[in-house]
Amino acid sequence: MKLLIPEKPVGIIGYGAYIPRYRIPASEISRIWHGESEGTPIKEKSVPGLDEDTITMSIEAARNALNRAQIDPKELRAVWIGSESHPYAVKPSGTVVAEAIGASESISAADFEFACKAGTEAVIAGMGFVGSGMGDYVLAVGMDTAQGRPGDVLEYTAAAGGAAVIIGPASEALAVIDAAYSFVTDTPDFWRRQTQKYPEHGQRFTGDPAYFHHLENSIETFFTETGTSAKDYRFAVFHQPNAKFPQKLGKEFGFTKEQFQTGLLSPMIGNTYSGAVLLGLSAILDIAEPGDKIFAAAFGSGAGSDAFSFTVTERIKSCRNLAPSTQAYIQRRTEIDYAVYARHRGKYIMN
Amino acid sequence: MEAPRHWRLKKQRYSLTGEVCPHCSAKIFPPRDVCPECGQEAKTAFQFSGKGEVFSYTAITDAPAGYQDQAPYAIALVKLNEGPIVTAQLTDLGTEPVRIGMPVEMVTRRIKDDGNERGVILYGYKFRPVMQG
Amino acid sequence: MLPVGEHWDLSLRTLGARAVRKALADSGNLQPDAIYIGNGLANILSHQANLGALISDEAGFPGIESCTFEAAGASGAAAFRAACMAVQSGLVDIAIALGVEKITECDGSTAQAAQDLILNYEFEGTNGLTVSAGAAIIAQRYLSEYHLDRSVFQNIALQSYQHAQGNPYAMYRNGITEAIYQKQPMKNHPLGLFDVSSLADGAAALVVTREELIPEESRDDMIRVLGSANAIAPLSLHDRHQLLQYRAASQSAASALRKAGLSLSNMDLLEIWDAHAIDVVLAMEAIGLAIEGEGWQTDMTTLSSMGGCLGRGNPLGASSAYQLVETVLQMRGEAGACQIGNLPKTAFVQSLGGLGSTAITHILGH
Repeated sequence: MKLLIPEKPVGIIGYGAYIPRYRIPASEISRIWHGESEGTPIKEKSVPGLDEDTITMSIEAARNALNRAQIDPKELRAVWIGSESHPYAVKPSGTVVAEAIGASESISAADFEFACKAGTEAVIAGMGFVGSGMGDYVLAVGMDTAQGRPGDVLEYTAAAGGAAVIIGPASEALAVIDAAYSFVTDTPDFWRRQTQKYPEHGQRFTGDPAYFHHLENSIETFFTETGTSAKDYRFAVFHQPNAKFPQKLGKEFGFTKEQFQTGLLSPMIGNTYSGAVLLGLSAILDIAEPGDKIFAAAFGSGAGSDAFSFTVTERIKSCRNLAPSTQAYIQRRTEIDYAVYARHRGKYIMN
Repeated sequence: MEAPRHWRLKKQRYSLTGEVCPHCSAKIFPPRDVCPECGQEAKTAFQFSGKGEVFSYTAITDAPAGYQDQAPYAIALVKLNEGPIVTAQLTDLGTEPVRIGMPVEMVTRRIKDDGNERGVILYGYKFRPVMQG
Repeated sequence: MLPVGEHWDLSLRTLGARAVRKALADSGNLQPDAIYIGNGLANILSHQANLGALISDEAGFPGIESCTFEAAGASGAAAFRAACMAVQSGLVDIAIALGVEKITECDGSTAQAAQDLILNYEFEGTNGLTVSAGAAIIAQRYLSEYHLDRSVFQNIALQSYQHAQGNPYAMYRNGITEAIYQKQPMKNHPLGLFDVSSLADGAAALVVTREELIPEESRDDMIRVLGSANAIAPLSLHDRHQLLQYRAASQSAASALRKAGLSLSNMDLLEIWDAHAIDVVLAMEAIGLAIEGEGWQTDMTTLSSMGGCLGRGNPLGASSAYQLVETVLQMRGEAGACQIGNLPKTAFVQSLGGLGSTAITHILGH
C-alpha cells in the first residue's frame, strides 16, 4: 500500500488564503532586463509589502482558517509553517504565528522546508498527527515571499502568498482528505545554499527530470492506487511555477481547463512556491459544492511531489464566507513599478 | 537588542491582547495594573476584535532611526470598537486617502528590525482599511 | 541666558556653567547653596549623566548641593520649582535653577530619536510615532472637530517669528512673511515646518532666594514668585479621555493662580508653551483664555513676547528656563526691542513637557 491514509479519517476543517496587495506586471520586469518585446510567462506577480514576510502572511492566513474552522485556537495541537523564505535561518516561524493567533503553549511547532512543497508536507504530517489521535487539530501553512535573482527568468514569477489549512477529524471537515501519496528522489533541479540570497536552478533540467517526472509519478501512482482518474474529480490543482507547466501536465492526464482553471492562479499572481497548491485549493474551496471531489498535486524541488484527493462536505456552505475569499485577495491590487518593487524586495544596497 | 522588552509585550503587540476590568467592565489597552476608569486593580485578559476606526492621523515622511525602511507611512490613533484608543501605523492603504472615521482592522506586521538584519525582528499590530469579501 | 542656536564650540558643561555665572553676576554675585539643573537629553546626546557634579563644579562651586530634574520640555521649570521649594522651606538660602540642553552633539536623527523618548516608548515610539507627528495627530483632530483648516495656525507662527526678531538670544531673527508661511513644506500634515519648533542648544539660569538675603541695592530688580504648580496628564495620547483637552495645563494653571491668589484677568504678560502651534491653541483653551475651538483666535501680542520655542528656538529642557528669564526681563523693562508697552506687573508662565503631559506654571509679580 503506497497511499498515505491515517487510521482515523481526517479532513480540512478550516482554510484561509493570503496574498499581499502589490503587483508588478511581468512586462515591467521585461522592460528592465530584456526590452519591451520579450514574451512573459505570466501576466503579473504579487509582491509583499515593506512590512510583510512569511510570518506576517502566515498569521493572516491562519486567522482566516481559524475563522472558518470556528474552533478555539487553544484547541490546536500543532502549528507547522512550510516555506522556503522563513524570516529567520534559525528561530521558528511557527512560534511567532502560534503566539499571534492565540494558540496554547502545549503544542508542537516547527518549520518545514521542501522547496515548493513544504506546505503540503506539513499537511501530510498533520494528517498523521490527527489521524493517529495525537491531537484533534493541526494548523499547516504553506507560505512564501519567494526570491528571484534580478534579471533571472525566475524573477518574472517568484511571488508572495499562500494559504493555511486546519486539519481535524473528518466528521468536522469541510473537505475530507480521502488519501495522499508522496514521491521523492534526490534531484538537484533548484536549490539555495545557506546564507545565499537567491536560489540557483538547473534551467531546462527543472522541466522533464524534475517537475514532470515527479508529478507524473505521484499522479499516476495515486490514480492507480485509488482506482481513480481525471474524470472522477470536479476540480484539480497542480504546482504552478508558471502558467504553462500545470496546463501541460493536466492535459497529459486528461484534465480539462474547466477542472484546473479555478485553482490556476499563477497567471495572475505568479508562483507562490510553498503557498501555490494550498492557495489554488483555497480558491477551489471558495466555490466548491458538497460532494465535489478535488485532486491536488504539489511539487517541490530537490525533489518530490505530494498528491491528494478531497471530498467536499455540506459544512463548506456555512463556513466559506467567514473569511475573505482568495479572489478577494487577488482583486485587492496596487500596481508598482520596478523601482518600488526593488525597494520592497530589499534589492537596494543601503550601505 | 531589546529582546526582553518585546518578549514581555508580545501578546499585546501580536494580537491586541488587553484587559477587561473585573470591577467596572472597562476594556483596557495596553494592559495596566490599575483600571484607568475606576482605579481598581485590573488583570483579566481580554482579546480585542481588532476592528476600529481612525480617530486622528498624520503622515511621517522623516521617519525616526529604525523606521526609515518603511517610510513614508501614516500613523494614527485608532479607536477600537471596544472603546480604547491605540497608536499604530496604517498599512496597505492603496489609493484610499486616510480620513477620520475610516473603518480599519488590525493586522500583524513587521514593525522594525532590531539591528541591521542581524537582530530580532519586531512584529506588532498595524491597521489597514477593512478588507471586503 | 545664552543665545539659542548651534554652539559647535561649547560643550554641555560650558553652556551650563556660563549661564550659571551670568545669572549670579546679574544677582549681584550671590553665593549659591544649591544648583538645580533642568535637562532632558544629556544622558543620550552627550552620553552624560550626573550633571549636578559636572556643571556645578565647572561653574566653580564644588561642595554645593546639585542634581538634575527631568520633565521633558518643562525640565527647566521643574528645576525652578525645586529651587523655590528649597528656598521657601528654609533648607536652602540661595538656589540656582539652570535649564541646559546640548542638542548638536550628535547627528540630527539621533537628536530626533532622543526627543521622541518623551513619548511612551513601548506603545507610541515603538510604533513609529514621533513628537511632531503626535502634535500633528492632535492638530488633525482639532481641525476636524471644529471644522477648521490649517490656516488657523498661521497667526501663532507669524507672531512668534515676529517677536523673535527683537530678541538677540533667538535663533530665528529674520521673521517670516505670510507668503513664506503659506509656501512652507509640511512637517507632519497638518503642521508645517513653521508650526513645529526646532531643537537647538541653549542654557538659561535664574537665582532664587528670600527677600531678606538680597542686598539692598539689588532689591528693585527682584521679581517675586507668587505661585507655582506642576500637574501631569496621561503620557500617551491614546490614554487621554479627551485628546483636545490639555488637562495638565488647566490643572497646573488653576493651582498656581490659586496659590498666588490671582486670576487670569490680573495677568499683564503670558508666556505659553509653543513647541508646536497646536500646543498654544490647546493651552489657551485649557488655561481658560479661550473657549474650546477658539484657542487659535486669541490676540497674541502679549504671548511669547520674545519669540517662544518657535521663534527663539527650542533647547528642550532649557526652554522653560528661557521662558522664565525672558519674563523677568520684561518685568524689569530690560527686554529691549521685545519690551511690551506697559511694564508688566504680573506674569503667567507655563511650560509643557511632552505633548501636554506635564505642565508647570509659575505666577511672577513685583
